[in-house]
Amino acid sequence: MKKFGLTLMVLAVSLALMTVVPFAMAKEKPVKYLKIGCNYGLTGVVAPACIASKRSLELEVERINKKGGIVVGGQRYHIKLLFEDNGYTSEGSVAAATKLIDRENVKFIFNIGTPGLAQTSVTEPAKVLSFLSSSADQALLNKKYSIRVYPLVQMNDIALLEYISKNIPEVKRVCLLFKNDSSGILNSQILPKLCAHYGMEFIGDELYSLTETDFYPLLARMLPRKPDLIVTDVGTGAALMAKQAIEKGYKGFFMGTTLGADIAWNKIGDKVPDGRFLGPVVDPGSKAAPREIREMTKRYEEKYGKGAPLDIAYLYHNYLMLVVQAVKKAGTVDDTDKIRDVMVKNTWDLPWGKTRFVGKEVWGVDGQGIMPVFVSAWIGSKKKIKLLKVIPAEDVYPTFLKLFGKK
Amino acid sequence: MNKNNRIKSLLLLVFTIIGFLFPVIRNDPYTLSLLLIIFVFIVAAVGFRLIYITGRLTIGQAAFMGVGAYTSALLSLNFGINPWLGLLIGGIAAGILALGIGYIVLRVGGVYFVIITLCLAEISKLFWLWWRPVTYGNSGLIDVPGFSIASFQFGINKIPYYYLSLIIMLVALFVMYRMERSRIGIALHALGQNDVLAEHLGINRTRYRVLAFTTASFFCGVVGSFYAHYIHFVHPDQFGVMPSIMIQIYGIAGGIGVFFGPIVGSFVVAGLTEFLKIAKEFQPLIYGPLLVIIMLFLPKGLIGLPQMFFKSSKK
Amino acid sequence: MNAQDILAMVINGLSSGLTLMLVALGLTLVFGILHIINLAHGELYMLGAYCVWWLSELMGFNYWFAIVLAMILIAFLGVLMERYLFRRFRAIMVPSLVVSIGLMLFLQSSILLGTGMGDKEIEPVFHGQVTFLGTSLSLGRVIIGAVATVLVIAVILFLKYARPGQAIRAVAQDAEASSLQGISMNSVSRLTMIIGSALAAAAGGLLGPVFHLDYMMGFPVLLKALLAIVLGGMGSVVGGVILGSLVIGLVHSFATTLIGPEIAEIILFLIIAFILLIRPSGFFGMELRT
Repeated sequence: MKKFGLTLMVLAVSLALMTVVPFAMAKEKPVKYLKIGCNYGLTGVVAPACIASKRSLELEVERINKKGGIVVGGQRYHIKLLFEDNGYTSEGSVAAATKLIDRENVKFIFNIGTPGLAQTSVTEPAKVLSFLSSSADQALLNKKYSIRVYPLVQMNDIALLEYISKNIPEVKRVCLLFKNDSSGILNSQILPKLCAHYGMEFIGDELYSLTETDFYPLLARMLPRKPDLIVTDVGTGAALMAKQAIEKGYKGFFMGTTLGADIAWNKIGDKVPDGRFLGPVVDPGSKAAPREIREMTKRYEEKYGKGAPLDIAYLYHNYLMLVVQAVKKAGTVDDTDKIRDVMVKNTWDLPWGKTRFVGKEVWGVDGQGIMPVFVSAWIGSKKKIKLLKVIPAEDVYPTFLKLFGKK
Repeated sequence: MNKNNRIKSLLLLVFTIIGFLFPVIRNDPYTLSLLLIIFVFIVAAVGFRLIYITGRLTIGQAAFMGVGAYTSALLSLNFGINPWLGLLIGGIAAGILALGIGYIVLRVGGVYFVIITLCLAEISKLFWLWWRPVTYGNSGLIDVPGFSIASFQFGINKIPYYYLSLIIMLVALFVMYRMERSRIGIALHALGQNDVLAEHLGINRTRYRVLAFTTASFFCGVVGSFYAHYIHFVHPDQFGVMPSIMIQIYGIAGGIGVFFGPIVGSFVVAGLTEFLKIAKEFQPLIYGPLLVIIMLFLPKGLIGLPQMFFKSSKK
Repeated sequence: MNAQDILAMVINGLSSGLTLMLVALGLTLVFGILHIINLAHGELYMLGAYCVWWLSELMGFNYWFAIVLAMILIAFLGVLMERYLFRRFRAIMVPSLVVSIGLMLFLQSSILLGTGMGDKEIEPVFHGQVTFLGTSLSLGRVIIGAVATVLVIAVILFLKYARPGQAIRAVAQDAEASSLQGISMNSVSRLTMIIGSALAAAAGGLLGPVFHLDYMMGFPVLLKALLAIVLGGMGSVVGGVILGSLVIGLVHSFATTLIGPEIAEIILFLIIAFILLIRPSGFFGMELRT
């Protein structure tokens, strides 16, 4: 019996090896490659977003390469994405970044989520451009090689509150119910100031844990204070919260301030009355979305079917196109100083819209790309996202500077 | 027996030498960065075993790593305390906490202790998340300073970190090994086998358990602090239930009955994890069943593997 | 603070406690018989929810029929897990923890990769709210509470009066003596696993429309269920678990409403740790085991 067990184990292990080894053995062709590292949490908490992003980036890169790649300084390059799993841990993130830089000599690393901040300790000294997706100030603060073309919570807040103050005058009392991630923390810091700026009253904030599903007790705490606007995110947790708030008799508005999956709103269904939930999102498959994003959505859904969390996935096309355009313009694929210079000094036509770089006054470096904010509302009866207004970044940034400029 | 021991110590010496010479033979930052994290987890896993031999199974050791990491990182960020001192302070903070908590919780046994320690891990994570004015919650502490000797900054050079981690591990292992081999160790083992009997023999149950718990947690604190200054980033998620469970997997998969079990376990399981990274998002599909298979056929852990071969060839 | 607010807190707490009960009951039964902590029990809950989603949303079955079918399917899975894995580790805690973690990782990942990335949703059968003693809550929750209560009562009656149920209780009290009485250990542990998995699947299916489906939804529920059964006394009396779950729900509700959501979780864990210290066999535990 024991011997049989041993044989079985050896068999199983070798089977596992056999499935894995061919991946490792695959040889690369002698073509020049522009390597882009993706330090992703393919396993762990953010796996869905990372896997979706991986798949959509792969599709896009395949398309670029099929067209013959890109030409930089007279040399033709194919793009090669190198995915490293960090298991959504800090040490995994540092190890993966080390591997990408040291073994593959990668000059650009994309990263999703908070542990990504850990990679900057490796990328900064190595002068590798690090593309992050965290709203936290620390992500950018005095980090020369950090690039963030990510819709900042502050900017979204400003755009949405501006829209609300102009179009929905009955909103007077604002509260914050948010998950306790870095966007939530940021929101609890900035909202009081923002509300004062728009003549609203801020009546309190509560941050809840990421795994919370039952919001009745929390709502019993907040709703007696009679808010007319609940500021939250556009994630699945917030959708649940909104649904339960309506069940508890809440009659006011909701404002989601982060990007969220378009499908997250589907969870609310027709529970929230039409037009009561606003957010900085756009349905990537709809006509309201920028053309490139729409086409990408189509390609993605043709291959993988509907229902993927596409918000974060598509954000990284901004990064991909930014890198592609910037290396072309800079005429080099490995001089990151020059590429970064070109990157932050120009205005780019990225999939999500015109983007330029700012931020010297706030973070000491100008690595923040700002892009238009899409103000949309959820129409539950039709299960559709309706675009209300596209607010250009140039309209939002001055207010942002005025309120949060000095750090 | 004596000969066996001699072979063992020879093997140990060889491995230690290989450990010290490794960066000279192969200066590959990535391999070094993997190894030094494995060393960190070896210390935690061996500590986990030290507590286990007294008859208490804990799934909360990452909490003490967190205490060490946060203490040291906060001190160096806010008060400019030298990270070297931070290593010690982080360890002591974790040790003192373990001493206090240990005196209370170690009286509880069996599955209840497992759950209490699980609570401990979760509480510590929730606490770091909640204490935002100081820990910045889920945004994490960034730019934690690294080590330096005089004017030499460790920077992103992995070699000094590797040696530091290796030395910390060797010291921790030496202390815990000596402890287990001394009179104290006999008492600890006695407690694990039959604590009522042990008490009759004059072994103070709680005191000895607290000793083991505090020692293990002190070293957890030290490696936690090292971790913070090496990664330069501290985040609550690294010290919750899941990392604690990983430590426990390293220990049990390696073989919790033997001192070297957790060491083997850390190397093999971490190596396996690394190897499976090729499978990208599909790795849990292989990793999960592999854990099950290891436990099904080697309930005593990987360290039982050579024995098994030995036995089956003798038959 | 008036009586109305307190009543609201009580109702909120009961509504979450009732749903926790189903998961906790299965977990404690499995622990009582097999003496292992099945960390993959939360995954049975998750699989139950996905199973109902698959049956009712994709295959077009009636929601209630889908739940029953899911209970059967997951119970079958539970039997397989018991037969090939847990049975070998009966009363051996250490390796069983690793095995259940391995299972957990595997099940989570296969759901994530097998069903597509996005969160899934089960269309609620019940719409609208009811106002109960001045507190409004969704009709769905009231129904869930009722169904959960019925299921739990059914299990209690089964354990008390049916012969196989009595066998389970006998084994939980004294495995050795009951095997001397001719009770087959294996059939008892299989039966336990069937009940435990079916209850978890039912919980998943019932809560699916109220909350959302997510491949990681099992672990947080497992943690809370562990707390509940610890409160009730591990593997001991069924009544203890019921009280334990309700107390967890109530403490969470009161602490969240009165102090705040993040602190509430810390308080919850602290209270459990504290109770374990003064009553090591659980607050409602009847037997003391060291």
